Amino acid sequence: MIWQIATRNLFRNARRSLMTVFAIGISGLAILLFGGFVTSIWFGLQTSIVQEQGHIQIFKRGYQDYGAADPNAYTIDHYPTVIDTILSVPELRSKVAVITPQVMLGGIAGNQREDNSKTFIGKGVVPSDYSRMRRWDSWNLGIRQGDLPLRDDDPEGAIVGIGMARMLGLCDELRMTECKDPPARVLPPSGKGADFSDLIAADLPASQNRDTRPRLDLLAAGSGGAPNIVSVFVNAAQTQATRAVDNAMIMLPFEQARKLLYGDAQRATVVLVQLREPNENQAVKALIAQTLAAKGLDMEVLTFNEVDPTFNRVFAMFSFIFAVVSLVLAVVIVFTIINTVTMNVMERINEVGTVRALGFHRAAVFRQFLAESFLLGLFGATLALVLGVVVSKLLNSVGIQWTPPSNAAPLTIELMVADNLLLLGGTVGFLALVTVVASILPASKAVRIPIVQALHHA
Amino acid sequence: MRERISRTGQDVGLAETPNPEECIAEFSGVSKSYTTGRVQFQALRNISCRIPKGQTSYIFGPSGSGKTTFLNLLGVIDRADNGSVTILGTRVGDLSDSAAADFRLRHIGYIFQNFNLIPVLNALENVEYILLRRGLSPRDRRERAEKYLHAVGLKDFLQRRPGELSGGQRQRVAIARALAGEPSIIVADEPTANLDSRTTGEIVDLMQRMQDEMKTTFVLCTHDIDLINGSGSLLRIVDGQIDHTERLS
Repeated sequence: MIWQIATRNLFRNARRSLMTVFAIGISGLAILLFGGFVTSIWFGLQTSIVQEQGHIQIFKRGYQDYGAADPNAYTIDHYPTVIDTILSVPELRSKVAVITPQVMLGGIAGNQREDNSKTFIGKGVVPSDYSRMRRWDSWNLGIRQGDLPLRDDDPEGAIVGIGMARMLGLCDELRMTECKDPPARVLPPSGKGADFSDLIAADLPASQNRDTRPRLDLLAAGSGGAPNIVSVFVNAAQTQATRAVDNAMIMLPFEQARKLLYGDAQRATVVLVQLREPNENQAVKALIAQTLAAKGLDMEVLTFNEVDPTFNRVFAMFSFIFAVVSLVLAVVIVFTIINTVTMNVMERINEVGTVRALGFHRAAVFRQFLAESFLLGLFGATLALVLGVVVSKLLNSVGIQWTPPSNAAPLTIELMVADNLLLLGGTVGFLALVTVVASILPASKAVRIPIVQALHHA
Repeated sequence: MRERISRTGQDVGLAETPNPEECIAEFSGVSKSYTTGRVQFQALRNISCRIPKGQTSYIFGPSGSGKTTFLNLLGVIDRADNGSVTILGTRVGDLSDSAAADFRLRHIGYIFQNFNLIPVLNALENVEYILLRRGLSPRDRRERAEKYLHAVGLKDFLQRRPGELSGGQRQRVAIARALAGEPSIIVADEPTANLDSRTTGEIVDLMQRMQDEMKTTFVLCTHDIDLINGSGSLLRIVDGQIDHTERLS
């Protein structure tokens, strides 16, 4: 009967109850939409990172701490051994979607035609593996980055950042509308540029000399410290995540990068592991580390967010904002409920006195008010759920985009509300809890009024 | 008024009130005061008396005389400042808040001046509500509530909410509610004060009939001498003191 009375009391002051339900519902809607946005960021950002870097990265021990200063000393000596060792374990083989080596390199890139050169940071990838990695979408978010404009059968192909293309004067040759080549350079008095490309031009095979793509010559220090040069032909320029990277980035096939640095040695900077399923990072990481250690390979096995804390920071930032927004809304709800319950109490003090005079304990009256608040919270939460699902679907249909700090390409915001049971359940629980907690103070005041005083309350 | 009392009954002093075995409640040296703002009001002054079991006792007196305070103490919804109130052998002033609620539930039935029905419940539910804490099954609750509502003549009004009933009908529901708990004492505070004279007569007759049938102890507080009709006892309070007690025949 407590719920019967509670329900009827809500309808007794239908207008007031409706306003309270609306206040709770709108607050709940805000929580749901923002929660859906944060969830979308969590999944979307993770997907885009995993598409580029995999879930797990394997380095030679010490690379994270000292590798940047002495990359040669912290390079994986024979990466096929690492890959074969991992794939020899059936459990790992079944969980791994892609396992691929990469080489990180730096040096000077020169464009002979423009008589221009610039330092670069490079990444040597296996094009087919990298393209497969970019198709990973185990959360079914529909995030597709498209295949890399590099091919396994085109070992001289390359991609550069748009900033890099601009500085090296590749914009016109690549027919890019979003960038312009630099103004004509003033040559030194000798009339000859300082470009090192001349050093290699004569050595290029005839086929490469006939390639119509813009050519870059990459100079880097080999493993022994001696300079080495390779030529690549730029297929495309693509925007990179940050301006600094965009101004210096060159991506080239793994084999080309490996030869530039290590010659014939089967060395790599890192082995990337992309898993079929999300949420297995830690378990697989532990198994890989155990497997490699058992083989005597002194490797450092890290998850993507251990290598680059950007993901954790971005998510922590949005989680903090979400918590603050929820707190502010909770305060709004608390005051709304306190106001409503206080008015209910004031109107029903006489009823409280009657019920207590009839032999009901204080706790029973207290529960009655709490039940009414709980129902208000429940109705408000239901309204929030309906509005949340409808509004999120409407906003999703608009296709709003944003570019996370670590991303080059924008992500479409898919407010993950409708199928987010944790968020939906959590919001309902949160609203019900807040409304019940908010009613404790006025309800406890009501039941402490002496019965005689309550009975004579007008 | 005084003449009528003398004419209809036999004057009795406290010494002549029933012996303890025949009493359901006893007030012994009870005082009670209230503070309103800075003003202290002495509602009862050193009252001692006994309430006979199985009869109707009328607490009579002018407004502000202390009748309602007397009834509040008897109904265990207030505590005396001094003295003791003993009901069915229990010193009710010593009960905890929770034990007092249990005591009221088992032994006290209330009929209020303003009916005090729960507005969101219909007549049947209002009577059933009091039985919730009795541990009765829903079916037993329903049957008992119907029985008492039929007894007070509301057979055809079970589903009506208080707002859909007349004043007399509401007070009948309140009487049925008080009876349904089958308490030891039913206290009624000015039960007809908000009713017209014809309805007042009906309600008084009903309460007398119920008392006759059920032999429950009724304690009625009133300032209306016309309400004092029938057998029982009368206790007149003036300025917080018992001015007169009388056995009515």
